[in-house]
Amino acid sequence: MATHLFVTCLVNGFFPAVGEATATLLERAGDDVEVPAAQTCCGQPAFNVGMHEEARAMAAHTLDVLDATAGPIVLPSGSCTDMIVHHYRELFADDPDRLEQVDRVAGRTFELTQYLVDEKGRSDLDASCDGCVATYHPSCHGLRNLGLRSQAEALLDEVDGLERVPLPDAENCCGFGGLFSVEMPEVSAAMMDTKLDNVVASGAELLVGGDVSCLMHLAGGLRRRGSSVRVRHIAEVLADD
Amino acid sequence: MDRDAFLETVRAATQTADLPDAPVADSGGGATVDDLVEAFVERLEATDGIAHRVHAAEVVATVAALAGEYEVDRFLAWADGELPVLGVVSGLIAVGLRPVPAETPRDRQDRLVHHERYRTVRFGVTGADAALAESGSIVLAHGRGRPRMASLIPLVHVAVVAASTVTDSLSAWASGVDVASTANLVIITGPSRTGDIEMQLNLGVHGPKHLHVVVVEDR
Amino acid sequence: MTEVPVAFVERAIRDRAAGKVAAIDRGARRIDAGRRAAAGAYEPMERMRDRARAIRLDALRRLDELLAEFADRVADHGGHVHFASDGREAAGLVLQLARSHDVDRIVKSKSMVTEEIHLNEYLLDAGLEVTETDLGEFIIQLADETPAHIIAPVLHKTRQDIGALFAAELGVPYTDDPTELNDIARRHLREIFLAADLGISGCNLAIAESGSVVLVTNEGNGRLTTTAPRVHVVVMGMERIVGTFADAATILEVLARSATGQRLSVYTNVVTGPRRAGDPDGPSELHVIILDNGRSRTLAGSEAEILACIRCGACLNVCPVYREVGGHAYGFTYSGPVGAVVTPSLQGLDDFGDLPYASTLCGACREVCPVRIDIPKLLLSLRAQSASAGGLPSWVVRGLKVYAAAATRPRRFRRLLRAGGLVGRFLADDGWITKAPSHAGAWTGARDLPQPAVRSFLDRWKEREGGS
Repeated sequence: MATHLFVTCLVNGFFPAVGEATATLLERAGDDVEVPAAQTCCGQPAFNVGMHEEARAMAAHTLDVLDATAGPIVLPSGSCTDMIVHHYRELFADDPDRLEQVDRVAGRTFELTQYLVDEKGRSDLDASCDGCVATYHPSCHGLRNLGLRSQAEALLDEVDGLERVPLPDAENCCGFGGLFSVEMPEVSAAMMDTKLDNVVASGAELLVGGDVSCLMHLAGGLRRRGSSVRVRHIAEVLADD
Repeated sequence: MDRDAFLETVRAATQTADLPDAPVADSGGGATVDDLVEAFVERLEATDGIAHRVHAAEVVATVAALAGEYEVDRFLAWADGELPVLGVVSGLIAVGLRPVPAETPRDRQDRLVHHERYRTVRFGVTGADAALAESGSIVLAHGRGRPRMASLIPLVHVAVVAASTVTDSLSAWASGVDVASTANLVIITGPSRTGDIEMQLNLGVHGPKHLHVVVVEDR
Repeated sequence: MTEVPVAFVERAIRDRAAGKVAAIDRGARRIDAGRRAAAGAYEPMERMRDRARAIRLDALRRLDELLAEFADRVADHGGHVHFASDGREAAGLVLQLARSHDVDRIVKSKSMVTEEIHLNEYLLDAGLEVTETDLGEFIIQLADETPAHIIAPVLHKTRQDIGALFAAELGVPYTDDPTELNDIARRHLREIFLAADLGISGCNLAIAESGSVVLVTNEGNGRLTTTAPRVHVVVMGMERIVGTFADAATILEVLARSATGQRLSVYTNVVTGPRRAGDPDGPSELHVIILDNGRSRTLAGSEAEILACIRCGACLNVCPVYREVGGHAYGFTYSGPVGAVVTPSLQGLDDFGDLPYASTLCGACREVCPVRIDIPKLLLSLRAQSASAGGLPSWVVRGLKVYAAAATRPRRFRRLLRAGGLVGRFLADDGWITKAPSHAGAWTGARDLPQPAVRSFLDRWKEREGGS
């Protein structure tokens, strides 16, 4: 049974390399990878601002696409996984048919590091990153809603040549927050600055995370600062051999 | 607003309230403590109180010595019969201290005159009905012969508590208590404190700056 | 929320520019470190949290019964209970009591609910003398400000601010030594306590079974306020009730740990009726004003869970938004994550529709809440109401409608991504956009924007799989 890759809208539109790296990793872990061609967006942007009708439409589309598959569904995003696994239930609370569909889909939907470590029992993926001094930011939805942090750290610790240094105040939110980042940009940027100060203080030259949403915000902030710290999704780091 | 109308509004609201199911709470209680008195003393001191473990015969001398240490000549106290050992108040009088009357008049003017005395009283002596080992607290039920002000208005509060009344924790103690049997019950955990100014700890902001608990061995 | 800058953000920018926020961040982190140490050292913490949650939710479910029982018991013990549907009515009742008891001077212990109903202004306007006695609230009153934190009102002030304030307002020599400032306040307030006729307190918890009011303070001002004056008036938010003293004990044990990292607060003061026959001291009269002020509307709706809050302030201390903006940005008595739910719930979304959006939904608040309130869920629920009521900026609504229409039609979605790639090529330089037009400019005002992919993942994958 193939593993289905749901790349998320941001990977699809901004960071295709992250999607390809995710596919590479899944293949390296022994899976056949399929990409449902009709996939779009999980609906979180609309859900988070309160536009439930639009969110429901996107969620229903996503459910239909994913329910037509069999086997594990993997996303390179804690936030979108959380949306499917937890919030779809709220969106369709009054729709028993959709709820059954949510149960079918959510039960086999995993975030990438969760899938690799918890489901496949793999933390060593033969990756290497010579001379890399990296720090890991655990994005909030993965961290608090899916219990993810140790999985990514275990994976990074197996990367040859990579030294992982602690990120001070790692669990503090980076300030992205979806549309929050453009609705309240000054507050979002203040939070970003706090996070980036900690990234710089960690001494890392590479910032790794599991959600491209937070990472594009942080990378954009680092670039604006003229910082030399690089930013990569964990899939990209792990896919390098 | 009329009581019935108010409560009817509330009742109607409870009917449509969107409340999540409550967790099934583990039946286990709060913290339990092995050596109660020792734990109480340790916690009291961790909250900046000072413990004196003595036998009944030493209580009067201990309290009198504290009065000497703080150089006070007057004190506000519970009645002798309300303390776990007899003779504390008379003992303080015997060494030359003067008791401040505790009865606050109900009349407005008399009350204000009475309150004048509180300006200078620096030493308060009370009993305590229980002590809580887990938090280092003492429990004072106020009432006849047990003025609330004695543990509140002076700079120094000395409480006398029987070792046999030390119990585990507030939640353990609370289950067996009729709290309505007194108009005022207070659980005291250390001397008055504040961290309001730059979070720097300061003792004695309104209540006592010094809390001494005399634990009388009666077991 | 409107097209123009959001009130929350404007206030946040103002307070950051005024340099108020660094002290709040420092203070909040310190308070939280205390909470973590206390909770970590307390083996039963998790099950006590479950019990506290169960107690609070149960109390809300039968709130009318508990309030009736409480009112009956207060009366049995010789106290008087009043019901007020809003703040105006409650303040009016207090004023009436002050007048009928020939009161000149009023002392108050710290109470968020009296802040909520602006009681001080009301009484001062009526010519009464009202003094806040909690050190922090006293400072706030002297400075004519509002609290910056639920439990630490002057977290935003330095000792130098307070020293200058005392010198100016109390006529004392300037000092910035906290101990000396503390002693100045003690002396000043002691005189006021001893001369006061009426004491006003809030109510941390009310106990239905016994008719008791529980007040928690560390300084002792709560005890003095409820002991020295002839009359004690309690203003109580109607949700502050539990069934039994044992229930209250469980709440108090998690409250102190979560609020200040203490095992118990210094003074847990349990008041059951006025002074009784034979009692040497205490007020001769007790009045309890039970206040609705929007609470029954909240209870009836989908944010009812927020009424389980025990006002510990732990969610403020861990909130990355609160720590960057401080308490005043929230524009009302209650700040931080709990304020972002409570304020629009009680006061309505019309004036406070921006608050539910003042969060990244990071979930740190839910993690520390002693009664496990799912604050992000309540924020999302308020956002849904706000969106339905037309509270979103029109560009957000338009944008998401277009996006949702594309995201439900895969071919259109691909076209949208391709269009994004084209626009990106036009705007980007070296893979980055530094100045985006229109509302994307809000992004690039603060950070660079990565260039959208010229070919989307799906297009590239199709090619890899040998499609066209």
